[in-house]
Amino acid sequence: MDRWACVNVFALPLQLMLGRHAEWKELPAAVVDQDRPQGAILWINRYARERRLREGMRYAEALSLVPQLRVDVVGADEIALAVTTIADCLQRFSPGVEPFEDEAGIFWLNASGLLGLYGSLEAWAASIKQALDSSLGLYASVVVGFSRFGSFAVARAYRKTGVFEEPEHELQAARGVHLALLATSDFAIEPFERLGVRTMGDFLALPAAGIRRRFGAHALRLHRLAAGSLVAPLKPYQSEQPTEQARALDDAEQSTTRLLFLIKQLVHPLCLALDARGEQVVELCLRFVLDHAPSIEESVRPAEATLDEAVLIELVRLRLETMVFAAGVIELNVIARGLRASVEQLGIFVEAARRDLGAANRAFARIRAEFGDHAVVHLRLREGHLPEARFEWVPLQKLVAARAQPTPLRPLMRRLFPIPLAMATHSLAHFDHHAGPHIISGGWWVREVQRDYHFVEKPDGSLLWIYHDRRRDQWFIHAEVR
Amino acid sequence: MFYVPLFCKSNYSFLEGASHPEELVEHAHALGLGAITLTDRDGVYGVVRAYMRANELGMRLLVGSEISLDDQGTIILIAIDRLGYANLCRLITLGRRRSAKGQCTLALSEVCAHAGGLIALCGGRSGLLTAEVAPVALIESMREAFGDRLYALLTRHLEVEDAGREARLLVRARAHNLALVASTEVLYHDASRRSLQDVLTCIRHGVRIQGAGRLLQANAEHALLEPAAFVRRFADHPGAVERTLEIGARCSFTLDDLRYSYPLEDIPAGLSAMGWLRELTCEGARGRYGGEPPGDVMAQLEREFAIIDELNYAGYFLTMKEIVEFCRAEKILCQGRGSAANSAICYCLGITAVDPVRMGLLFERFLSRERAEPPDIDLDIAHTRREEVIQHVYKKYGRDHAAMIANVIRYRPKSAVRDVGKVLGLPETSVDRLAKLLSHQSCLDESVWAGAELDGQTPMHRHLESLTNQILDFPRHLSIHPGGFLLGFEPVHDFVPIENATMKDRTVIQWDKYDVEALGLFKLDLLGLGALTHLDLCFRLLEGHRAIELSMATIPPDDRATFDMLCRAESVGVFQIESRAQMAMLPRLKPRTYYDIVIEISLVRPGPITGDMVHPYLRRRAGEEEVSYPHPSLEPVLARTLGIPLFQEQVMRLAMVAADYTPGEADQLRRDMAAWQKHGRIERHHERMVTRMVAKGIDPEFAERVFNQIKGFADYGFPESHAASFALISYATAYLRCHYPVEFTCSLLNAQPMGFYSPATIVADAKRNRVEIRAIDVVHSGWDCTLEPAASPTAARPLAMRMGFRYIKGLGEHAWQRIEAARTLAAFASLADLVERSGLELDALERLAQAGALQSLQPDRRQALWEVRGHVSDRQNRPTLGLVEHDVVVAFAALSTFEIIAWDHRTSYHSTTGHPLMPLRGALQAVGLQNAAYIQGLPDASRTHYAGMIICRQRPATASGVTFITLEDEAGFVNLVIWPSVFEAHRVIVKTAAFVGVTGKIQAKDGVVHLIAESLWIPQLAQRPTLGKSRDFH
Repeated sequence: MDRWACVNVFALPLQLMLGRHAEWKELPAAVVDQDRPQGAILWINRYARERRLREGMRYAEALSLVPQLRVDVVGADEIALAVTTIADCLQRFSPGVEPFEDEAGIFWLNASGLLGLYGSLEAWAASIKQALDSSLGLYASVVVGFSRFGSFAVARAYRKTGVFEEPEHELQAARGVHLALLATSDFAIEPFERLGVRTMGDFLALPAAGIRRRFGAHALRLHRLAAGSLVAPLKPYQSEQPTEQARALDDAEQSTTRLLFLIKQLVHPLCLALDARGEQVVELCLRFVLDHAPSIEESVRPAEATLDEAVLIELVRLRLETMVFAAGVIELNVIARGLRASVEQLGIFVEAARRDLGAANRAFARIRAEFGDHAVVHLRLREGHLPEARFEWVPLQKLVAARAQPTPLRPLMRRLFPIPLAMATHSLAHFDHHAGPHIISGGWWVREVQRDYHFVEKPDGSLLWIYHDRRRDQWFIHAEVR
Repeated sequence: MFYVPLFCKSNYSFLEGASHPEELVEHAHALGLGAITLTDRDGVYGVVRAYMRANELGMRLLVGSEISLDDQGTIILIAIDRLGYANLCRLITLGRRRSAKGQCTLALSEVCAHAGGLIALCGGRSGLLTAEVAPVALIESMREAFGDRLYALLTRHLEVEDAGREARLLVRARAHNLALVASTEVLYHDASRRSLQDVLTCIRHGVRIQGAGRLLQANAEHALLEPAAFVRRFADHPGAVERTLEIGARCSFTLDDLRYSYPLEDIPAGLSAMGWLRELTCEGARGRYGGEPPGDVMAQLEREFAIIDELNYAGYFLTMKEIVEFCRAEKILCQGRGSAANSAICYCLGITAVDPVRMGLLFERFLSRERAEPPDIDLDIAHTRREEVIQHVYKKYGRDHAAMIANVIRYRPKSAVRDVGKVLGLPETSVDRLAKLLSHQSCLDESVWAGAELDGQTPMHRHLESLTNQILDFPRHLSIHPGGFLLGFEPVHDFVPIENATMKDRTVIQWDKYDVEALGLFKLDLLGLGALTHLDLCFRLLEGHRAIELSMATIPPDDRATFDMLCRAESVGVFQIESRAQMAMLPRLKPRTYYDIVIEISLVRPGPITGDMVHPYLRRRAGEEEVSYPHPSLEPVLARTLGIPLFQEQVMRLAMVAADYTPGEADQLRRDMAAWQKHGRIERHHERMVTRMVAKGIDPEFAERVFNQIKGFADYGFPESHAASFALISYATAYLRCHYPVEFTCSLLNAQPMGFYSPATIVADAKRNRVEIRAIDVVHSGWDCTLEPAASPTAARPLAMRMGFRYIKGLGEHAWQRIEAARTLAAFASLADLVERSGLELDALERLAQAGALQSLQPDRRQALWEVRGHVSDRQNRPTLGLVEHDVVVAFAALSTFEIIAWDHRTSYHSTTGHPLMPLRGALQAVGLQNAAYIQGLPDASRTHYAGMIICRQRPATASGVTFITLEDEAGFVNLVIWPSVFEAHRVIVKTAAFVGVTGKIQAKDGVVHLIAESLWIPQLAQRPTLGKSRDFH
């Protein structure tokens, strides 16, 4: 590899944030590590810098200085995704792309052998810069040189895109780069700054043995890289093949049977791809692009991770049977979400349970596939005073073995109505016997509730649990007592 | 009386009760109840306040507590008599002392062992009798211990669970033959406090209101009930209602039953405490006056003896004398202050150092027969040695007889808005904005919302505003008073429970100083004072290096040179008169006597400033205004202050003379002026005072001005006796600064942190005062700063000062000890020798190198850094087979003077090389920026530009939004005044810049120069100076 290029996407988290909030572009803005007063400012734009804000300040301190400051958090996942997207984009220009692990936004590219394609390296570099700008909206510089270190140093120091014609030119430019711009997690520059070693040239003037003795292996490695006595080969990034299959249909299709067969053809390669990665399917996401109608998205989940195509297709069939297409499908898109297969040998030693949870879960998966995720729910208790606030229904993800707890037998039990029934009566006078009130009130911070509950006996001897809603001045039946 | 509420928790059940104790009492009174019980959780924190209010309203207060039991819920105990109260306090002390701060753990058996004189109520939400499982044996043991004083507590809060609990209670009450008594658990006086109670619950559990669920009460049925409603609620158990009255009648205990006596000191046989006090005082008087005291002094002493004897306070004075003697024996510098300085006995006993007879101080401010309350003597102690005195008190009296007084931490606007905002789940940044806009005294209102650019009308914001303002002044938790002690002849835990403080070896009572004062108990205040440490260190240096034995008592009075120095406003490091405002006052006041310093100290205070007394006083002093008195009768009161009232005592006297206040009313006025009772009480004096003064022929304008000053005192009253005590220390430090600047600076730096200025400013000031200051050196320096002989006999000062290792940032004392140990064995031969023998870590060695402390071994700091890294590496990786790798010699760029100063400041808070602006002066002059000396010489009204380092920012509440900044350069200080409009236009620079340029106009009057800022800017220089953080006071 005789030619290296370094791409520097400046302040990537800040660019991502401003991409999200286009309206902030001309306002003081900053990326913070957490959206709290004590959050630290990580990146700032020039409008914030002009107002004397600096990286490292606390959010509250910065806000007290610049009340118009806009901030947001850019998460590690978002940055990692952006790095992957940029790397994928760069792979269109060179097969060898290496993202810098230490700082998101720096990439090395193998720039060898591209003259034939682009005519010149300047054109190649310019097209990279143009592609990042137009397709991702990111501003970057591209430096083409002769070494990993030289191109990196120059790309970090200067916000310009260019090509070095001679190795000496690159070395000369790199020597003038301020050492502070090259700080990494492995290489602290403060000890060198204290020694008056400010540029790469000053750094290279120090004896290698003296550096190793005083500053250790990392500093020595940098010294050798800078001096050219150590060459670190490019570690090319390999993009993950998406576990996604798509099919454009010549004629709009509305038959669920034919759609099922088409989906089956798409699921097969997906299972093969996941199998090759040692994964199994946990979810199939289906996207139906309709002819002159909004697209429909559905997903099905097997009871457990599987590569059994028959099981997956059966779930898809059940889901398709419930669907009605407003127009014909003109494109099908299937994404398989995988999970690394677990070791199941341990299961051999487990005594088979009398109740087959697996079968139950498979059945639930079929019900979910046919009726939707909210068709299978279970009850979860909550700590609330209002009867309806003491529990909630939540979708059941997976059935687990029940552990029954002995509960003392209650002589009476209240069976709540899902929605309390309004009563025609305006007093307790209609009931022969009643007990109460028991008052439940609260919720003043959202919508105040005040209910006076009573147990009442109807003439036929049946018992009701009723309440008077003081705020609405109305009576409701909340439960039957059995 | 229809019923007696037996189970009431105030906000002294921290973060549970939602009403002040006074509110509960007042509301009960309004409902027509004749008595109320306060039963705070594991304590009697609020009983004094409740008792005082109940007394005022003619109600009875029953004292009790809800006691937490190990895994057995709670039980309510109420004191029947003094024995019962003592048992309650002992029991709580037992539970508290064995637990971590804030916790209390007691077994039921321990409760039973302290049953004497107590009524027990068992039941309610978490009582033993309502538990699901019936602990028969435990109920029986309680029955046995309490007999007919054990009641089954029937509570009803209209909750669905009430019925089940009640059924179990009734069955067990019948089974164990227990009488039934009715009550509700009162958590607030009125149902409108329910939302606040919910919020307090959330704060206690650290949850948001939206997720608090069943941690909150089910309804708002925890208010005090009207008698009719209470009777209705328990209509099916009328006997249980009547029994509340029976319990009320059984409990005769009141806090008046606390018969407090002071611990007796060791008194020689045959003498009473009073006799011994008289003997010690007369002996002291002979020492003070060099023989028999003058007649007026004797007369004053006799007057004081008579009152002390009558009120039986002799023991207290003897204790103070003993503590002062202990300090003397241990060579701990101490001095009494406060109203004690009004007492001739205190002066003769050596407790205070001001002669009240000569000063004409008002004895009634200290002690009066009419007031009959314990005297208040505050003892200032050298702050680094105060803990020795505290432990001495514990040791001498024992932990049962001595405990420190609590300090109740209350909700202030900032903490209130933060805690409530958190509970409501509001964005932290919004809450933070509001908190930053709230001052100590303010409340959340429209202006604050507008300032924070938030809409105060959203429902959640309205909740925040209402709840924040309600929670203000609520107790948050208990802390410890800085130095207040309660001593008792009887064990203190028979008066009030004692609990553990967070600080090791400290125990604290459950009452704060206001409670102690309200009950007339004696307290000692042992306070730490940095200035005394400063003086102590300075006296020791004088003795050690010059064989001069100086003390507070032997410092020559009325030293002309000292007053000359003060008139020039050279007062950096001088106690109480070193601040920017004090410095600006000195050339105007021109102090020439000790009493002038007393006035100087008192004048720059919120009281005289808001009372508009400063300028009239200065004009009269300068002869620009005639000294007149609003009424001839006031001349004796105001003569010493030229007709202008400046002191608290004068206000008292003035009220007595001009407004015909009785001494009792004057004392009430003083109490109402105290900061802690600011709930509008001072206003009730307005009409009375002004009307009476006008009726006596005093100008209404003057009357109003006096009243405004009294209100100012409410913020921070300063009595003459305080000022007189402080002025002694001020004069002593000023004298030392004037005559022994080297020792003065050395001791001041060793007493840090204290005072107004940073070490860098102290060092720069000392250098301007021709003190030779030598840099930290690993070969010469100690941990503290030290004195060394001057380089030549012709030097300006005979001694020079060497900075100590304590000033190297991040270098611990243990590192210094290693250096000292190695250095004691043999002098360091080289850097390699230092690294090898000291065993210091690389970080410490690099700090030394950067600070220039290795200069004796390697003059070049960069070379030293390079070398120590190499030596440390060799020490860690010993060469194998003796193979040594030789270094190539490397040459580093030499540090410029500018860099050396910057490194000094970064590593050691100061520079002995020079001020950061010194090397930049050429560049500054090139753009027309002169130094502070030049600015000080400019005529009034001239326009100028100046650039300096900000060392202090101030925005006092009394200055109507004006900001004062002290700028410093190598030649001195420049005082900058920034009007609010200029501040707003340049707020970012004012708040953030360390080095700032100013364009403005000079205001020069009476030798005091201010630069009135018109605009501020950042000077554009090639290099930016480095300085430590400014000291900002708001």
